[in-house]
Parts: sequence; C-alpha cells; structure tokens
Amino acid sequence: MNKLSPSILQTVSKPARYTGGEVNAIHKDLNTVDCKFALSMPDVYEVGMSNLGLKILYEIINNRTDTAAERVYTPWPDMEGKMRENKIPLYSLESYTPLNEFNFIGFTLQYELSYTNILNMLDLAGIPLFANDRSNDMPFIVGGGPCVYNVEPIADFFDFFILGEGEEVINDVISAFIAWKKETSTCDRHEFLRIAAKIPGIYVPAFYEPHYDENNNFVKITPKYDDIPAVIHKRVLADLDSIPSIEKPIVPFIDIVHDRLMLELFRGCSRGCRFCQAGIIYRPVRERRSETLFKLAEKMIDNTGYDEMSLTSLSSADYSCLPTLIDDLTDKYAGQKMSFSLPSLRIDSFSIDIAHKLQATRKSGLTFAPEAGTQRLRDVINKGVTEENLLDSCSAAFKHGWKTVKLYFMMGLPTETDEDIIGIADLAQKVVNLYKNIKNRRDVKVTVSVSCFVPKPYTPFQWFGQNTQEEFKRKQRLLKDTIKDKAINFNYHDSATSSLEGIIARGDRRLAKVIYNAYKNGAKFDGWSEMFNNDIWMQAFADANIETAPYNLRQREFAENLPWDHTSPGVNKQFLINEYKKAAAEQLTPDCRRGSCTGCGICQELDVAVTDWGEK
Amino acid sequence: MTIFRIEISKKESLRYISHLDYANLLQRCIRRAKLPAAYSEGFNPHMKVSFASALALGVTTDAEYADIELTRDMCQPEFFDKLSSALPEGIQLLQAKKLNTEHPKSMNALADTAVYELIMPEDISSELINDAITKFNAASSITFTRQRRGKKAQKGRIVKKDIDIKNYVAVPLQYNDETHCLLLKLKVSPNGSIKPIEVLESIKNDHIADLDIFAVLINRKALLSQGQPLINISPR
Repeated sequence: MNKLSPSILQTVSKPARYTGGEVNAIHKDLNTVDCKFALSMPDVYEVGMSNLGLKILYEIINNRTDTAAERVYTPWPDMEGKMRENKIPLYSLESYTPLNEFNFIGFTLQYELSYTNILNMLDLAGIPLFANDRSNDMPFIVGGGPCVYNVEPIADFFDFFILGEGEEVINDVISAFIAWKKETSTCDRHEFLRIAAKIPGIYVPAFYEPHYDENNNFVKITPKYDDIPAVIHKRVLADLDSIPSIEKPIVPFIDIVHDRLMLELFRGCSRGCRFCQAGIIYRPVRERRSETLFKLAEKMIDNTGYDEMSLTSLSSADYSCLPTLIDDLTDKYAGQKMSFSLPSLRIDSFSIDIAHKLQATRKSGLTFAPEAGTQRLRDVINKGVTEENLLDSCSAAFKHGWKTVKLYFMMGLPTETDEDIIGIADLAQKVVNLYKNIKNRRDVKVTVSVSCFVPKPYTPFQWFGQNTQEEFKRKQRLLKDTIKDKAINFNYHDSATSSLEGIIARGDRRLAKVIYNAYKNGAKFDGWSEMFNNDIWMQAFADANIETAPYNLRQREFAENLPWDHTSPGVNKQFLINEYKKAAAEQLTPDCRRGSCTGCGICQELDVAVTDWGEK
Repeated sequence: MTIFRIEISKKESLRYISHLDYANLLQRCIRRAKLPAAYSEGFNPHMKVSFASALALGVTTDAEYADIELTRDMCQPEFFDKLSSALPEGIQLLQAKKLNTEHPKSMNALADTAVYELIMPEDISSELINDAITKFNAASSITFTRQRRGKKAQKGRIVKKDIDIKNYVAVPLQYNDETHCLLLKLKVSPNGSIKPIEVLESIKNDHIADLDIFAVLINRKALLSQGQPLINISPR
C-alpha cells in the first residue's frame, strides 16, 4: 500500500483526484478475495468518474464476494511528475494498492485519442507495455467499450478485449479466471488466455495473425488456432430489464464532468443515421420498464443525495414510456428540488414540451443536432429531420421562454459541397430571424458548433475517404465568412485532431509502433486540445515509416477485407454497403424500432430482439 | 421554520476537499438524511445552509460550523441521529443546537479567533523551531508578501501585497517539544485574516529555510467568539 505524503498532495492541482474515500466507494480486504479487478478510464478523474459503463461494472463486480473492483484514472501531468520523482507506482483509489498487484486491469476505450494515456499508465504501474513482454505474475490488460470494434492499433498492448455489453461477460471472465487459478499447475498466462478466447465476446489479439501483401497492403487476419472463432461477435443482453444496474453510485468529493445521477432508459438507437457508430454497435433497441426505472431512480436518489438526474440514452425522447416515467418522477420529487434532464433532444415539439416540463426551475440552453446544413445532405446521412421540424421546435422553445439554442453540425460528410456548408449559416440565420419574429426582440443567441467528420468502422461510411485538413480548414473559413449575424456564435474543431482520430479509428495493427513512438516522445491527454501536440504525432509516423493517407484519406473498396472485420457488432456488411449506396442516391431508410425490419442482421446474428414496452 | 447550528469535525479523508466541494458534500448528506431542508426561491433554488469561515484545502478541523434551515420543526435528537448517520467516513457531527431565533447573526461576523495546531515535519528539529518562534514572537512587526493570482482586470498577473503578520496573531506562538506541535491563534475578522500556511511560509523565509511547509499537517482546533466556541454563542 502506498502512503501519499501531504507535501505531494498539497502541491498538485485537485488532490482529491488521488485520495478516494468517496461516499459509496467499496472497500474490501484484498487478501480475502480470489480476484482483484482494477477498472480504469485512461483520462483524468473527473472524466473517468463520469463514465456510465464503469459505474455499472464497478457494482456488478463488487456484488461478487470473491472479487474486488477498484478504480484508477490517469494522473494529471503535475501528479505524474510527483509520482515519478518519488517512485510512487500507479495505485487504486480504494486500497492504494499498486496496479501491478491486480489480476486484471480493465480500460474502457471511449476515444482513440486516449490511447497514449494507457501506455503512460502501464508504465507508471511498472507493467510492460507490450502484452508479449508480460510475465506470469503480471495483471491481464483488458479493453472494452466502443473502440473495441477496431482495436487493431492497440492490439499489441492488450492481453484481451471484451466486445459488447459487459454485465454478463465480465462474470464469465472472472469465474473462468478463479477456476483456472485453482487448477493450474503452471500459472502460465497463455493457458488462461486460451480458456478466455473460447468465451463468447472475447478477443485475444495474440491468437490472430494479420497478413499483408507485397505492396504492404492489409490482406486479412486469421486465427492461429482451430478452436477459436474467425469472427468474434459482441455480447448483448437479451433482457435488459432484468439485469441489475447501478443502485449506489459513488458520490465524488469534487465536481466531475457529469456530476449528476444517470438513469439509463434504454440501450441502442435504430434511427439509422449513417455516420453514427453508436447507432450500429449498441443495436438492437432494448428498453427498461418504466416501473424498473422508477425503482432504480428512487434507490439512487436515496443512496447518494444528488439533486440532479439525467435520463440517459442515445435518444432519450424515443423512450416509449417517457411521459409516464417523467410524471411519476416529478410527482414524487416535486417538493425536494430534484431536477431531471434529457441529455439528447429530438428535433420535434414533443421533445420541447418534455424539456419545458423538466426545466420548470432551471432553464439552461437547448441543444439540437441537425448535423447537416441542407435537406439534401441530411437525406444522405439519413438524419430524417427537415428544416420545418427544426424551425417548429425552435419556435416552440422560444415561446416557452428559451433564448439560447445550440446547433450541432458536421463538415466533411460524403457528397458534401460548398452549398451544404453555406446551408449551415443559412439555417442558423433562419433560427435567429424566427426569434426576432416571434419575440420582437434581438436577445437571442444561436451557437453553431461544427465538428470534422471522422468515418468510423461498422458504419455505412466506413469506406469513405476523410476530408484533408486543408479541406476542413477551407470549409471552416467559408462558413466563418458566410456567418454575418452577431447573434450567431461559431465554434469548430481542430482539424488536426480529427484527422489523427480518423487515422487511428480505421487503422491496423501496424499503428502500435506509431502510438508507442508518440507516447515515448511525450504525447499524453491527446484529447485535451491544450495538451495535443501534432508535431509529436507526425514525427511518430515518420519514425515508424508509416504513411497516414492510406488510413484516413483513401476511399476503400467494398470488396476489400477491412482490418476490423473480425471484431463485429453483428451487423451484416451487405446492409452497410446498401446503406452507403442509398446515401449516394439520397434515399432514406426508416427506423426499424416500430416499423419493419431494415435488415441490418444484428437481431438474427445475435439472437436478440427489439424491446419496446410502449407496444404492450 | 427552524434553524440548527451544527459543529462537525473533518478528518484526514476530507483534508483535500475545498470549501466549495465540502459545501456540496454537506448538502448531499442533508438530502440523504431526508431532513426537510429549506430552499431559496427563484430559478436556481439553493439549499439554505450557511457556513462559518471557509477552511483552506489541506486543513482538517475539529471545529467546522454550519447553520441549516428547515421548513418544519423537528426535535434535536432526531435531527442529530438522521444527519449523523448520513455523514461519510471522516466527518463527524459533534454537536447540534436548535437556534432560538429565525434570524441568527452570521457566524462569520461572530468569529474572532481561529486556533490551529500544526504538526511539524520530523526532519525539522525542536531547536530550530524553538529558535524560530522566539524570534517570531519577539519581533514587533513581520512583513509578509502575499502573492495571489489576479482576478478580472489583473487576470494573468501575480498580485503582490505586503501585510504585517503580527496584526493577525492573537497570542505568541507556542511550541510543544513532545508532540512536535505548533499552536497558532489567529485573529479572524470580516476585514481579513491570514492563513496558517502563510505564517509557515514567513517562518520558512525568515528562519527555517529547509522547512517544507506543505509537509506540515494543519488542523483547526477551534473557532472562537470572545473565547467561546461558536456553538456556545448566542445567535441573536
């Protein structure tokens, strides 16, 4: 156990990031458990503590008496410096146990630009960075989360990955480990990995061999053993409603990014936006019952004392029992100054009415995501929202008293022309004019936030060549010059980070060298704009002798094998191809949730079904 | 409506929590305890809890005070038990008193002295400390340059201000050889005060160059008004 001296903690920013002891943190005697599991997000405490998946796993694992789950996040560079200077190894927040004494260290992979932090954390823990350098007494390094659908760029650093929803498979892994530990005579980690590789949803990268042709192009990836699957499918819960969820979330001492309770209404979203990875990888839509949610909400509120709860989902307004749930919650907590919020609003008046009802006391800004500036391009991406929808929603919002609206867009989408970019400015202007007409005042604020589109694996746009940085910058300038009204604020993303994200998102196993080089040269917290250093990355590519353009700028062929084909959310490739073709033809695909099946193949492949309690 | 004044201790596990975060924490405890807390009106209702002088990050205390306003009356034992059981490890409810007024005087206005106990680092010898405090106590004035990050117009700059520490020291410093503890009684007033860490910094600058001021464990033993703990003072 580490003892942290006050002279270290007093001289770093926000020392409570490193001291644990929060309300509802679970402290077990690590000498009495059979398995020690460290859960991590490779980012700073305030970000990591806000992650829903880790909160769920923390409770699920700690519900086992034979296993302890503890937390660890990335120390901010000031603390990292102190730890290195004083030779303090990275430790868990519950028992201050050095990380290399755990059996597993699980990292949630939320975004590509957090990968260098993983290497930095392993190094701080004294654990070899490459999986094949680890000895039998070292923890197994495990990855999960949305990035597992292409983990090839970091495959060399991990012992195995868990694909899909973790609630059941995490128990399969732990039980298998405890059984193996009791029986093994060798403690050979390879022996356990062979067992793990047969658990559905587990990908052991060392057991798969990538092949390249004479021109150094990726050809395919194949299993090294006959008894492991060529394609690993994600795990998915057939009955979400009956699976235990969070009841006693940890209440942090310091303000975190999402400092409120999260009530997860449902998983999945089948609206079918063609740029959206979450829309594919979390399918099918499965709702919890309203009664189940109400009970979960009661427990969480009682156990934490929070006065704010977010009704979380990919598209919360789509929850079939939303009006009932909200009425029940607001009735019960009316006198207790409890506030409920929806993180994502659909662009329709139903959403505005709900938001109005919820925000009777605290009126924050409204956020909509039209995603593209013209109807043509919104049809290409299957956004299914019209200008009329947006103006109707804004009009309802303005009448209810809102005067700040945030609009999210992307640039660099397939088939995009300058007309679509100018369309963004036009749309924002129409919202401003609408306010002036309705209210006869000018005190409206419209914020236009435009990100650079990054094509992601397992989306219909996974073959699309990303825009160059120059093109992104040109479009940003064009939009900036087109926006004239002072009521409109324009924010945009740094094209260099989006470009790097684009390279890694569709990278292959050879990028491990690049990520390693970048880490060695000091890259860390790359997702934090003030910390991102593009020169380090460009040097890392040059030193590894790897060209970037084939990864992000190249238009891929439908026929070619993709480096991520073997780690699958269960979607049918032909469905994605058809969707890409329909995009080019500006044809829409309806939501399968209440309509007929659109043939993505996930329900059939994984033997699950859409659960919608509103039908009953 | 009823107001309870509470006295609580904040120990090691809460040492690195800022005053603002501590205020949030206490409010969540009150909610967990299901006490009928009163809220302000308006768009952003906040719980009606007021605090005595803010404690610096890094300092523990045996004497932290707050006034909690309730919408309905309840008996003291019920209040005490409910709040006690909702407090996390590291915080203890020492006393709770129902106030006999609806408009108590602000505790910040009442407090005049804060007593701190400072456990000195092991690598600093008793001789050095004794020598330093003799000189400190003998001096008629001690200038200390307070440096703060500028706000508003002065943002980005370091703002310096000379203050005389002796103006804020209530009685001479005392040092206990056996416990290696320094006892500090500081004057507090709405017009300003000094932090124990600043006294340490001055001692380091003038007398003990090797002192790592951040290795000193600081604990606020008491917050007094005319020699009495705040909980014993009439709120009227």
